Amino acid sequence: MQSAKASRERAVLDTDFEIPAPEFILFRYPVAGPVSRLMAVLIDHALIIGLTFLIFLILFIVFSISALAALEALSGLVWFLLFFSLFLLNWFYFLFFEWFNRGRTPGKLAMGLRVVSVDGTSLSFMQLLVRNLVRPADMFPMSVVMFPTYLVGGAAAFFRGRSFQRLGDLAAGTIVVREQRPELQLVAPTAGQERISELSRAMNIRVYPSAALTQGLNDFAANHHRLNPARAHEIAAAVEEPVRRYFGARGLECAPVELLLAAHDVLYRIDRTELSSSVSLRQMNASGEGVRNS
Amino acid sequence: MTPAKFIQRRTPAWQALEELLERLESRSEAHLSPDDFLRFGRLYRAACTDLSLSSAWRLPRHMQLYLEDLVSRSHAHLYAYQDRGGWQQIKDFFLDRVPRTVFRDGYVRICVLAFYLPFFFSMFLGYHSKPFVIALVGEAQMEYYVEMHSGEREDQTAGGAIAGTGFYVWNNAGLAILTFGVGILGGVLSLVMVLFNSVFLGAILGHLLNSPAADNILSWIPGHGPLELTAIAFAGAAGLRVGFSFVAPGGRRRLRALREEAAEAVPVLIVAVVMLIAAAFLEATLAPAQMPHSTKFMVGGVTLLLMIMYFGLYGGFRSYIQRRTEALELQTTRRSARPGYS
Repeated sequence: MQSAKASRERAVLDTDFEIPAPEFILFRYPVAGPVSRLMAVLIDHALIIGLTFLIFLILFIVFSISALAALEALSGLVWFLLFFSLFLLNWFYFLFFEWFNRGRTPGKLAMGLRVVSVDGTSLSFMQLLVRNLVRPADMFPMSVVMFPTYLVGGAAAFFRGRSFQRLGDLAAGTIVVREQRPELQLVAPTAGQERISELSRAMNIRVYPSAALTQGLNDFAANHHRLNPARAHEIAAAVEEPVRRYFGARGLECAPVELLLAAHDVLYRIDRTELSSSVSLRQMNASGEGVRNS
Repeated sequence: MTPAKFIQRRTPAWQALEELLERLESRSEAHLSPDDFLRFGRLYRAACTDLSLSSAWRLPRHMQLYLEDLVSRSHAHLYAYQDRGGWQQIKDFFLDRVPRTVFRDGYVRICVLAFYLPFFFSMFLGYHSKPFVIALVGEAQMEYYVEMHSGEREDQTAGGAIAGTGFYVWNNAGLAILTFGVGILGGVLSLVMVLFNSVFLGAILGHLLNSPAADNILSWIPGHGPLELTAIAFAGAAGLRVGFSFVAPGGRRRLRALREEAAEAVPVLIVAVVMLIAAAFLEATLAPAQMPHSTKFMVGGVTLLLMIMYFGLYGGFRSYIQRRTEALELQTTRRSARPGYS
């Protein structure tokens, strides 16, 4: 009950995009917001403009070598390459990078974004084609001082709630997500702190903590070193009383911050498969060992 | 099992999956052995289980994020689209999908008619009535066109032809993609662009044919005209389809309709771009060449015939076959649905 409520609240707050997999699980993608996408697209267009100038520069250099200009056929080839590369650059820059770099143009790479399919599968070429051929409509008005404004795309981004899909995304069934590559942390953030583990062993947990409390303890343990000590104390003091009650640590002599870290340590050491029986919990705490028969 | 033990015990499997994923993501699928693929499936399913355990047991957030990342990346590879087929795919696209789609596409018919009817009508008006052209184009512009095409044409060199191809591809194919792109805004803009091009081009051509520039125009247009003009209509049709799917989704949800129709429209646009590249080549090589008008008309006639054969006969044949197969499949499923009667 509690967890269902918690997840509903989470769903309202977060813009995460949920994808159900056939293996009876849901996984989430954090949706990229309009600002980071605009930044990415500006970087890309700046690159396109830069490359266009580069092409013209090369052309200028080639034609200033008079020996080459004299060769009529060669100069024709240069013009052909100029126009053809402009055509490719204008219309296939995004497609090229999104196909060969698996959904990331240089701008998206810089902003840590990636295009994925809405059903969580890898992108098909057709999706990328649709996505990028519709781009001119999203870019409308096409150019203000050489840069497209993406007014239509920006307006369309709010069409479907929080997924921030521009028209091309809607037509192709794609979505842009923030890419996170979390590192695997093998040990608890509090591991190796003698005082904390001593405290945690002295705790006598009675009731299994709620999802919100568990989450809060996890987040606090992971991030407390980034907080100002006074702020950490203030946060910890606010929840000291319920934590003491839940974790059976009423009489324990310790600072609130230490209490929270120790409680978090307990979470790592209790046997979750045995939680329904409070007797076994008490035994575990009595024996003073964190690990039971597993 | 305690979370600490759980993490410790499962880590080797996660790291093995991560290592496989990195190899998959660097696009060397071919270098993976069959054993690796089997192992990948097993490791992925195990990671899925671990992910649900980690949320059921409320493991630390960073654990869940890590597993979610592993699972989502694996999922993308496991349930990938099978369309990295190279040449076979391109062959199927141009020899089956494109002609079939174009033949059956009602929007293509609408746009071809919407282009050619006003085109010839406006050409007729432009030929006979000067005020019509002035009202449409403006007097200065009209004189400019006559001036531009009246002069003696200099002989074309090979280099100039190559350069011209590049220019026409850049200009015309870019315009076609734009015509498609703006179509998503209700389809009206695509249709407007098709109609505008047809009336405008028709009027100017009509007027030029009734002016001193007639001879030059007859030597310039006929070679590449059929390909280029039809391609404009095709690009408009693709845009119209996408835009209209949103306006009239026909019993589907709008976004679903949009997605389906866009996939249907893209082949039409691609063939339009290919046609424009071919037309650009013809325009750059054939149009300025000094040869009798009849030769150029013949080349234009051949491209027209090829289009009719490719889209009309071949495409019609393909879609006939497709309909037959569908009907046969329907029959067999009906038969198997009533086992008592068979």
